[in-house]
Amino acid sequence: MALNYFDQHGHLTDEGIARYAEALRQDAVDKLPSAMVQHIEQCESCHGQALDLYALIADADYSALGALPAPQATVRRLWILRAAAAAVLVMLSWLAYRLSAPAPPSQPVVKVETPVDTIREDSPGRIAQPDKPATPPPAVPRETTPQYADASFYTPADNMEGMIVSTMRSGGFEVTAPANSDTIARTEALRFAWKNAPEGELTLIILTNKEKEVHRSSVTAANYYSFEGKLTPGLYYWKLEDASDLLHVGKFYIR
Amino acid sequence: MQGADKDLQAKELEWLHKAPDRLLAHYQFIIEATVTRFAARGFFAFEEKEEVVQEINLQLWEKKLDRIKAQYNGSVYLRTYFSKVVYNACLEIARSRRRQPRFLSDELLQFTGDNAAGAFEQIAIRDELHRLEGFFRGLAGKRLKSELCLKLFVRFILSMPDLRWFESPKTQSAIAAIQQHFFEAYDHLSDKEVYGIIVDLFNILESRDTDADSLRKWVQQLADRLIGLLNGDPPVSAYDREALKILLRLFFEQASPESVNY
Repeated sequence: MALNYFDQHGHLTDEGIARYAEALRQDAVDKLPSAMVQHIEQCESCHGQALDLYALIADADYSALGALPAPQATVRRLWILRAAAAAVLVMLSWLAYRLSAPAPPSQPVVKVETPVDTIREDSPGRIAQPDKPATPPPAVPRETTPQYADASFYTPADNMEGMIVSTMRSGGFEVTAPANSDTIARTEALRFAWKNAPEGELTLIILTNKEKEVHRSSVTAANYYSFEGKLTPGLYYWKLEDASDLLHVGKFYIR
Repeated sequence: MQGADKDLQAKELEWLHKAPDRLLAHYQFIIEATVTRFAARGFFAFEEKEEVVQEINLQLWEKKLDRIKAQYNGSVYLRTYFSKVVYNACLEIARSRRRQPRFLSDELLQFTGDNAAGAFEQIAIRDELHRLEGFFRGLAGKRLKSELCLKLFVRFILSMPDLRWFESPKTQSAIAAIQQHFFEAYDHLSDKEVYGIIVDLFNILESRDTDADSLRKWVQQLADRLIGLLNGDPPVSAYDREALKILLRLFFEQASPESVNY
């Protein structure tokens, strides 16, 4: 049974932090659950705590401790066995009941045939035409399937993933929208917002997960930008730059 | 491993549930070491150390050991989990006393580089180097590239062991260019020139066509991310790019490439 290493706020629990720190100690971060690694990459607080804990245990001698047993092995296994046994008993009882009970009468099939001629009450004496079968509602045109809406359009770009950070700047620059990894519907407005950006012209660039630039705009004297176009579903990255520096790299999903 | 030692983790677990006083006595070294680290970073005065140790013992005995019993799931060593609990307790005490850590200044780092720092400073610097080591280990697949780029970021003079993981028939010419430029002091080269030379190596290895400026920005983002992590929130250090460069140089000088296990 996989342990939940996250608390109700979505941050790592103390045991989650400890697990990451031990993985650093063993140089085995690649063996960790991917959700944990992704969270650490995006959460400065949990990452900082994990590095602090690693610094505390890095030189400690664990050689005398032996192998780590499976988490709460005895207790959990007993609990799981009991639950599984109970589930099997319930299933068997239900099956026995189904097999021993007489089969319920099948529902009568009522077939209503449309009469060929019907005397209509609103016009007695006239032979009415058989009711026309209900006309199906006009087909609502389905949304055109996006050209690139396949799994490959959601594959993260390593190069860009490595650039995603919460930019720490002395001027207090901060991106307020979209939240990193936010999912936005195609029909929703795509709004980029930030505060405390350096003065001067900023450039906002949207890239696909293949790092192909799909949009570029200059923003002057504003702390937001609304993208009016429509993006096909998938993973996108966006960058905000000023004349001399890259201010922010983020990602979002279009569904 | 000796047979008697094999059960130490099991013994510690048993003590947690049946003899918590024994566990607490057994783990005093963890409490002492953690409080010392916090004192070294300036959260507590040296004279307060014993008092803080006692306060943590009291907290553990009154409630925190019961909480460990309830919440510890056994997916990590008990002593790692216990270290985290003690770390949290130290932070809580420091915050309740409204203590600000002593920021590690670049002068202090330079001092340490000259081996002139005191014992507490040495402990603090060693912790910083461990945090840096943890950061690199956490990069996993991006570690080699990140380390090489940050070496160039601080103008660290390279040698062949720094490049051994990048050597292949395809990269011979790129490696030759690196040897030509970065195997002796290259402080005179601009960032643009430095990344213009190294970017060829990564483009060959990654089959990409990244330009030098993108690589430069990527490295700056990496450095800023590292600064954010080292400074913490709320801040426990005051690194800027220059202070980070000093710490990185110290790290790369102390880490022998042969000893790094990738």
